[in-house]
Amino acid sequence: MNKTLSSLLIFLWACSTAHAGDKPQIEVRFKIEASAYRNHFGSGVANVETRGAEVVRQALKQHIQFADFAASNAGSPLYTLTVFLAVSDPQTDVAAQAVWLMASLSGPGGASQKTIWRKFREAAADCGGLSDRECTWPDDAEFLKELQALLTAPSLYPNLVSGVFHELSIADSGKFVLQPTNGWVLPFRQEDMCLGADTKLRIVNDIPTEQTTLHGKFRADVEGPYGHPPDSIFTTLSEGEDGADNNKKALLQQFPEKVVVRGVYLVRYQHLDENCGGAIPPPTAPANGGGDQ
Amino acid sequence: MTTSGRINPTLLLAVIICTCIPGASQVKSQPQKVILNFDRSKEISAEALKSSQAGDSNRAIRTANAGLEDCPTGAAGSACRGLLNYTMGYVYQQQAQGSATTPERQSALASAAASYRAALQDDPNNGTIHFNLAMLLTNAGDQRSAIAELQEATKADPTQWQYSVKLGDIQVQQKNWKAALQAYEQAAQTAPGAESPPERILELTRRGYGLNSDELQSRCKEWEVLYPTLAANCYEQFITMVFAGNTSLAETALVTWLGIIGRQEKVGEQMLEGLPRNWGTAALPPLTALLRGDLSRITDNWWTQSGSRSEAWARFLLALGQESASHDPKTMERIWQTALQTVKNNPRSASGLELRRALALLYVRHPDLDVTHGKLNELVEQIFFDKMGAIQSKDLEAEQRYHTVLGLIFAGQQKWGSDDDSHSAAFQLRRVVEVANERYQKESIYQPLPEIKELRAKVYEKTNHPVEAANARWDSLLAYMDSDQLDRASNAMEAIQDSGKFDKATLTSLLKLRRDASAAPAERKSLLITQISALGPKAGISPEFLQRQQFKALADLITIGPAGAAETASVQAALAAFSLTVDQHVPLIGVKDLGRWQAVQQRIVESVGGRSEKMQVRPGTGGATLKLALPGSAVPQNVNISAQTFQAAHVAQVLGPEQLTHYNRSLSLSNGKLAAPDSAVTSPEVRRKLEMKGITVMAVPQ
Repeated sequence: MNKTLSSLLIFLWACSTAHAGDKPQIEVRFKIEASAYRNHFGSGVANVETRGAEVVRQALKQHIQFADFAASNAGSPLYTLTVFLAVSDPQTDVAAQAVWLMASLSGPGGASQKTIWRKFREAAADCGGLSDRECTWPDDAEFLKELQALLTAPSLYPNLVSGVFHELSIADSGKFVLQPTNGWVLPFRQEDMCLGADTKLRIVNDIPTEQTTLHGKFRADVEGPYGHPPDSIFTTLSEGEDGADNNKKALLQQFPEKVVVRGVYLVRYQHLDENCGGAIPPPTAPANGGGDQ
Repeated sequence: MTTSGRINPTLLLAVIICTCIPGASQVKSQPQKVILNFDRSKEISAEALKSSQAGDSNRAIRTANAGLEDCPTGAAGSACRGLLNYTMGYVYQQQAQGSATTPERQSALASAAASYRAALQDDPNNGTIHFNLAMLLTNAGDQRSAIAELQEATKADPTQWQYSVKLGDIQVQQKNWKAALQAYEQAAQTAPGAESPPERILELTRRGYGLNSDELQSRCKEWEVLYPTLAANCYEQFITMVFAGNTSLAETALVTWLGIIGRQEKVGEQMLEGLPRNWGTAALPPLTALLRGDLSRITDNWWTQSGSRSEAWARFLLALGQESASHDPKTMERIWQTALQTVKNNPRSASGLELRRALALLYVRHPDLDVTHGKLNELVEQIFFDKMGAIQSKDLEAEQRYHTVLGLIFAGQQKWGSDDDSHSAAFQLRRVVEVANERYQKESIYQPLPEIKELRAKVYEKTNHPVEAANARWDSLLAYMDSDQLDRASNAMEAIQDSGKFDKATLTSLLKLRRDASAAPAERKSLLITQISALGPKAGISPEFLQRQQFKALADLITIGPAGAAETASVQAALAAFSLTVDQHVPLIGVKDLGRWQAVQQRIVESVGGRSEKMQVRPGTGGATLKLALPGSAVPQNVNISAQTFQAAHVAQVLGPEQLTHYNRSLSLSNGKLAAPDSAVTSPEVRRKLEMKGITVMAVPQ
């Protein structure tokens, strides 16, 4: 096919599909499982959980842009992220073990395994460790403040994504192309999803051949904005998910027009930059610190 | 639309783009009508931004537009127009982000670009506006112009490392690897406390376009102190680069890597993922086995064959034991006892002491593991014995560690005791603070130790010593301020009772000044500098503590703003902070202070037209250096002060902040030679003062 015409078709495809698919919606819940904490909060535990969910949601909104995080009971999103305050061994005294924030994502395919995300506190029995706050149970306000402070570190989120969000598809369409190099044009803007250059994706495809339709999973690297205007993103083909998929790379190249993208998953997540290519407000901006000028 | 019956794709593309992108909104030309006697631009800008934040961007634009029409004409209206065009650009840019369709977005982006360009006409050295314009251009696909704008942004405000990081990111996209590395290095140099720049350098190296193996090795070493998490990744990359050609070098790096991983308690099977899969070293099988729960290879393996390997192995086992804490205390005991055997003959082993502490607290928690208390007592006695050795050899750093560990063990046992009973938390924690103070006197390393001081308060409360408890609580509050934990300081303040012994009101004001200094608008800087400098010691607030706080607050005020009063204030703050550290020997505490010092140094050097240099941080003593205490490191770090910084500070002190601001663009300092217009160095006295410090003055045309 004429190269210019081919580029034009990709452009038209990108134009037509840009924003076609919204970001995945995820409901956020917070559950206090550690028995000592449940007992401590007593009848107020539901309230702490609701407010805890909001703290987690705000933190997620700030650090992850490839999904929309909704408060619980906000419609019926496909996915639910539950963050637990829990211990590794519920059968053993809570005071004898570290208390963790754990996370699990449930969706159409079932629920992911509960994954350790971040240590909330050392074992209470270690009271007298360098920080002696383990010796006291926090009240509601202290607890929420502590939770908020714990979730500020940007370095927490790549681990959460690779541990919990690996079965969440962030797009269900795309176009495989051979030029400028083998890869996919995906229908979202890099700054909207806030995917940094060190992000790795797993792209699931159907590859219809003359005999049958094959499924292939491939790793892809984020390359950067694509198109004029750049309303989509280009990702380069890296390798097959396993040996069998590696063998299907030739099919991708043979039938690029027929490849159908079924899902785009994050293997490794890197935030684009501090403000996702956004602007710095003037110093007069209300209550946000503004620019530095 | 057709050529010889076929679609002309190029023409079609052009038509589509033209129909997709409506014309950019016009930037308002400056009317000649109303001239206000006072500048309401800030108020109008705030109102517009409030409307934008509330989702009414049209109203925001109308407000800013109306304000723009009221700006005075000519030079008098420059600040007004600069701010309101910046505001409009920002509002349009926000509008673009929320646009539902591509044409709407393109239109908003075009308007934003036009407004930013108009703002730059009046405020050409505003780094933020250049940065915003660059973001807009890069998102629109014009990378070349985006790079040019980011270069302007970094030139206008070299303290904003984010500009350099973004510049590097775009250079990476453009595959300009060398330029990308240069930008990331510049960002790393500007902000030694920020992790993003070194992360990017490492990423670039992983992709094969960054540092070579020698450079990476020295960077890994440097990052061990400043960014331990990143240092582990750095060593993984280093090992990957060298293992095939130099196994021995790779194995040495592996030992350091395991020590770092152990200290960070990040053990788990996933930790091996960053190491080369096809590496046949004998070091990996015992690690892999242990991580899979197989304890059969815990002793007599590659790791137990030398002192440094054993130390790293013991540190790893300490962390591994903690991971298995919740499952089986017996397993934990076995792992830790084995680890202790590995290092017990090394009196300098830091892991050995930590293992004894961990085991002692394990026996306190699980008395069934030590029914006769024999194991616990033996551990405690051994620590006492080792402590005596440290005291005899006058090793204060080791002595402090032993007191700390004993204090924590006794606190775990709830043996609160008294200040005179060496087998009590009260005694040991008192000694921790005393030895730390002695180290400050002798080694110039200042350790705030807020948690230890807070634990002391608890001990005194438990033993019903309210006066001592109040003293310790006050000390912990000061220590939180020293270690930049201002929220915790605020919380601790609430627990302080008013008394004649502590001036709570002054400390509250000081805490507020600290917070204000880190978020001060340009026009308040001078006032804050005056307020901070005017503070004097009060009850419970020593001159030394006050100076440490003054350094932090003054350094926080250093951001390079638009030329004028704010810039003068920045130089003034930098000189005051410089004098506190260099002349008054105020110690640096933590990575944040390191960043502050870098800002001070950079501000001074750049105010006299010099180029800042990379900051060197090294363990040890000697040379023209500042002492830096970092959390988690018992060894003081040295921060070198370059000759250029001294010279720049001297020039800045002699000429004064106002002169520097006035002549900023005409000054240049390099290798002890100051090029300055004659009018800047008019007095022979000024010239003589400079020459006395070895600075040669050369005239440049004005």
